[in-house]
Amino acid sequence: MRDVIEERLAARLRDLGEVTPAELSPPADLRARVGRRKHRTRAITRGLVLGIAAAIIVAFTSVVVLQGSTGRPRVDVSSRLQAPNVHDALPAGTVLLAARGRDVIALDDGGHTLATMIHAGRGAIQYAQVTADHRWLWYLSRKGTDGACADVVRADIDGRSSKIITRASAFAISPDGARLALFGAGDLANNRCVAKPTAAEPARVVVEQLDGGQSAALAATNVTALRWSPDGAYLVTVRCSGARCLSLERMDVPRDLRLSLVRNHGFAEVPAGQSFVTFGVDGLYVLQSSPSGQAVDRYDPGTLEFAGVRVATDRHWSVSQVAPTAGATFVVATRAPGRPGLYVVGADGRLHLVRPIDPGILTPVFPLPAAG
Amino acid sequence: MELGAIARRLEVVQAVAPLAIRGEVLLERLYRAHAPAAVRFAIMLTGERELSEDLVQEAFIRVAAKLDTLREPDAFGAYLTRAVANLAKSHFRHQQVVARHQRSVDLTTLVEDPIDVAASDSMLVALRRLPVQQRAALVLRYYNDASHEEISQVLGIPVGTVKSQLSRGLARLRREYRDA
Repeated sequence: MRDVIEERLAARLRDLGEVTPAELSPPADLRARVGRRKHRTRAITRGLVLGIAAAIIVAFTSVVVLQGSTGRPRVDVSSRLQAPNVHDALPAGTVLLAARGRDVIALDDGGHTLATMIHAGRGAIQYAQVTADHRWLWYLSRKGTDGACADVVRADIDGRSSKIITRASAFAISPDGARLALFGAGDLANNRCVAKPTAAEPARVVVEQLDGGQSAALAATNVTALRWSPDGAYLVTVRCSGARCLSLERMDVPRDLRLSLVRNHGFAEVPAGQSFVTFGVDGLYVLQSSPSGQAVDRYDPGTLEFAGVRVATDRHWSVSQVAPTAGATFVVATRAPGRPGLYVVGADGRLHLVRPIDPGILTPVFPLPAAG
Repeated sequence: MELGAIARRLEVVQAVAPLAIRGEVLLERLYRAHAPAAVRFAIMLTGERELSEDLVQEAFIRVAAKLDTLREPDAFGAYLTRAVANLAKSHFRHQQVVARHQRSVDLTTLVEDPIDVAASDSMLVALRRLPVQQRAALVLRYYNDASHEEISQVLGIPVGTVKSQLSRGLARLRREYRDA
């Protein structure tokens, strides 16, 4: 015999059940995702078996393998540009990658999860980027307590294999996937990142040519954002001091890798962060804050001159990210009191809620070039 | 009672495509057959449709990847329900860790004030304040009319634990609902 509370609970649940969907279409990449999951499970099983076998061999031969047990990341320069066979893991229409926690997720313009591109076994993924040909997915994986340095990882787009390429504080892969820009202290091109810059090992921006191994560096301090221009001709960096960022810089990267700083544009006040500057189809988007609200300003990417306001909010809003895609501009914002949401900027300049979203770094995906 | 029989009694199980039909057709049919009920179950646990669809997609992939090795493939719906409950539990645990490290995100807004469900419904708000396992047990009991044994099988916990979870959940629900 049910009491009043039990009856009321059952009634509420029945009501809730009636307003939820009666039919759901499967996601477009369902079979591929199930296949990837199977593959991963098999790989883990194989890894376990091989691990046990290796342990037995080691015990029998009493060989201590020091290299590889030091905890240093594996670097394989020779195979850095070998392309995977399959590169159709990103479904058509994908617009955003969300790097949140241990996952890199592809979202469509409705905010629906299209695919889980990467699920890391440990560590936190902080930033992800896809090359323009949709073959490679690069991300920054932070493990342990070494705050300033993280693994720069390259995975094939199916997520079947990944490789730690080096360690750095921030990275950006050029759209053609041929050049890797790194920021941090230490010998970044050779897999050595130190948490605290010193006079002997100052912080630098390093650009590495992945197919030839050449690299070049330019001293730079307090860089919090590093973005390649869509044509891969230059880098845009943002420098911060404490909690505020005060300059936007352009660093030319010619073919011979003679790096040069060509422009330094001061702007008003930007909260320190990693994702507030990014390229859109019509310019460079920069998120700025003031006591009265926030604005996403558009800058001319060549001259770094102010070109207009894309989004402006009042003080009740807190915009944390900007992600301009080929189709629309998205922002992650919180309207107090509330929780973060993914919003699309309408033609009228207003923000329209797409979905609530967990905190994470959003990166637009390059549209795949037409075949042929 | 076998898992297959339990699943037939629960709403989450409908006609299962013959296992001989492999590949995409089978997956699509399974998804169309089981995902809506699983999303309903997830919404009752989380109160949020987007999150529920994400959880169900992930749960479906996990269960479907093991389809060949499931002990009772006919009970796909029951396996899916269990996976959804486990993923919801992991999700909220992860949210608590995130909230601890991010002062700007208020845990209570993440967990207890879902925007898709009428916040004015004090019964559902009180339900959502319960631990996920208690929530799952209550939903299975009072929405799916499952017995203690059936809940035990679906959630993979002992019958005694089911009884205690239901009892504690109801007691807290009564207390919070009357206070509201």
